[in-house]
Amino acid sequence: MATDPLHQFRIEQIVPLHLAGHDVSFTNSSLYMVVAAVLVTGLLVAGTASRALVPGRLQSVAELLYEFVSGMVRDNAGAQARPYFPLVFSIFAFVLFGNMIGMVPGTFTFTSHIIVTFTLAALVFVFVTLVALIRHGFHFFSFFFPSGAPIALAPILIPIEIISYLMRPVSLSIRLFANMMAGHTMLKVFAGFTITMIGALGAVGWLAGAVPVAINVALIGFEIMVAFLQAYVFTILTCLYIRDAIELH
Amino acid sequence: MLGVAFRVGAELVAAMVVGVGGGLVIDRWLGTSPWGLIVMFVLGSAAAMLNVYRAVNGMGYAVGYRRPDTGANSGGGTNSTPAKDEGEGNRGH
Repeated sequence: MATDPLHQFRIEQIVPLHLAGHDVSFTNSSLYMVVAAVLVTGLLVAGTASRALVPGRLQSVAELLYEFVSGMVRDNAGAQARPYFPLVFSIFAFVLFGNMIGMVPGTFTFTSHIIVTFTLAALVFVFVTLVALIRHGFHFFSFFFPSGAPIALAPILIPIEIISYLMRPVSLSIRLFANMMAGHTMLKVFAGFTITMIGALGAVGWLAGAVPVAINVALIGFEIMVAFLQAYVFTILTCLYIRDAIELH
Repeated sequence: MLGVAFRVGAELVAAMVVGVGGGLVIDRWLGTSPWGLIVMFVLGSAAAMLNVYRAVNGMGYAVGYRRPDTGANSGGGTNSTPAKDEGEGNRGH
């Protein structure tokens, strides 16, 4: 019986592929990314197919998802951020579905790998920086010096501000990956307790082993909430960064 | 409450990653070992404290965040949004 709580994060190759000396194999991680993308696309295509005035179940879900992200962009990124809605929506849907698919037992949670979350965060970071540079040109660099600070402090303040700007993708990716990985490891650890107890205590173990199961039931509810919340936080921060890039204060 | 704590933790870790990582890269690039690491470590710590202060103070997630004194319309939305999100985080965890 596999009671190693970290076994669930193992990357397994499904179709080994090598391209110019790089390992670009199709792995279980890639498989679940494809599943997430297909599910999001399927939901939206099927949900908007009927275009009923009184929405059916699927259409309600699709509209709810759209309006939720739309409201988030409007409230947090401002009215000018409308052109960037597709990006924000894609990020939210992808992260949310990745987190939620991970809650199905036996699946792989691709958002529990820092390389995946860091790639998403780096995409946001590069995009936001480009938007700011294109919109404001050279004026963008005034971002790194707080207005009203004494000019003598510039040698200290500017490196600090640059570091805290470069920190954005790192803290964005660490937050998502750490939440997902910690939650999934915790679930596995508690599930492992049950197996250990049954193995060690026999009949009493079956009774005692029910306690971690009960805890796990509560934890799964908590984890589903965290899965949603982390997708939400990731998206909200993306919106705030876009607002920064547009308004530049 | 745990949400805020976790955010502060992520903020601290991220600043250390960028500060120390950047310091090591500078050292390797310019051969100034160990001064790049030392200076960047101190600056990274300062950035971490600054960002934690900003996060806890509800000043938003933004780097170089300044309270907008021009454009009162956007100002209202700007200031209320991070606070709303903070509440969301509290309820969440």
